[in-house]
Amino acid sequence: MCLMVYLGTDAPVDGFGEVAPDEVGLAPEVEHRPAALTDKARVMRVADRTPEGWNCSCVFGCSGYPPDMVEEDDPEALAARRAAFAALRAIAQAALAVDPVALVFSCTSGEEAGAVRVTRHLAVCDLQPDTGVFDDIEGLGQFSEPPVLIHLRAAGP
Amino acid sequence: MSLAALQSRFPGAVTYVFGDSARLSAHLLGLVRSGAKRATCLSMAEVARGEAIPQIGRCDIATTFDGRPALVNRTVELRLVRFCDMGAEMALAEGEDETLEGWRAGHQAYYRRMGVFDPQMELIWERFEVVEDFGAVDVVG
Repeated sequence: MCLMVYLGTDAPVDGFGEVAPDEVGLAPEVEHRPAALTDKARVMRVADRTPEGWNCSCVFGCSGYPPDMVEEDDPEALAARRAAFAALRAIAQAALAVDPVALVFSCTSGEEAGAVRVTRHLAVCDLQPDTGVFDDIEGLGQFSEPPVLIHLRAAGP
Repeated sequence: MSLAALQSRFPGAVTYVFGDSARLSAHLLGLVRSGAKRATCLSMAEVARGEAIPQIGRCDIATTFDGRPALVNRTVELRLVRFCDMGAEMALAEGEDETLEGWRAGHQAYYRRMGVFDPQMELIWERFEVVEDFGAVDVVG
């Protein structure tokens, strides 16, 4: 069970397709769009690059595991999450530059056709690790990733 | 009762303080004790700075401004809402104001003091119930 994160824009977002292994970038445009992003002209996965190709988005902190299976204080994992969210903020900022109503959609792999369960409105600066960005904050637990649609905005405080 | 003892009684409990000053904190604890306040809210900026996200069913410990346990509160409802979309029912459940306009003015001032105010900022609104009251007397000069 993997976390998948998608970016939907009405114009191309360039400059994030050629990243080094273990960095987060934009994978090539997806063939089957998540239902929540069908109105967007371009839909790309925000994913982890590996030497073999594009991976899932679990680097953002896949929390679909029981808490006792998660090594919360693993410094390497924390550093990876921080770097991943920094990349996501850069991608979001670039997306807003070409589309002021850019969207981010996240879900568990295989649930792309599902209805949005949580709608959020976050500034680019709100995209931070370990703040429940892709989690079920309103629900009964934070250890699940429901389909979340995030309306991005550039302005922070 | 010490915080450590409370945290062993309420596993997973986190501690938090109402307000950003001793005076406001004491005022808000008083509102909770009187039954007027049964909700609060938290900005994503505060979460990014390390405030714990509440979780439905979890008991957390509200302390006085100087860190003494005051109340144990259980989270019963959570909503994500933008500041600009806050409705009267949720705002007034916080018990601090008599009108939505009053809530907006007070919370705008609060978040401006923190340097995080944005009308579109997302808030985590929490409804809670009081599980235990330690009856601390908060005397603020």
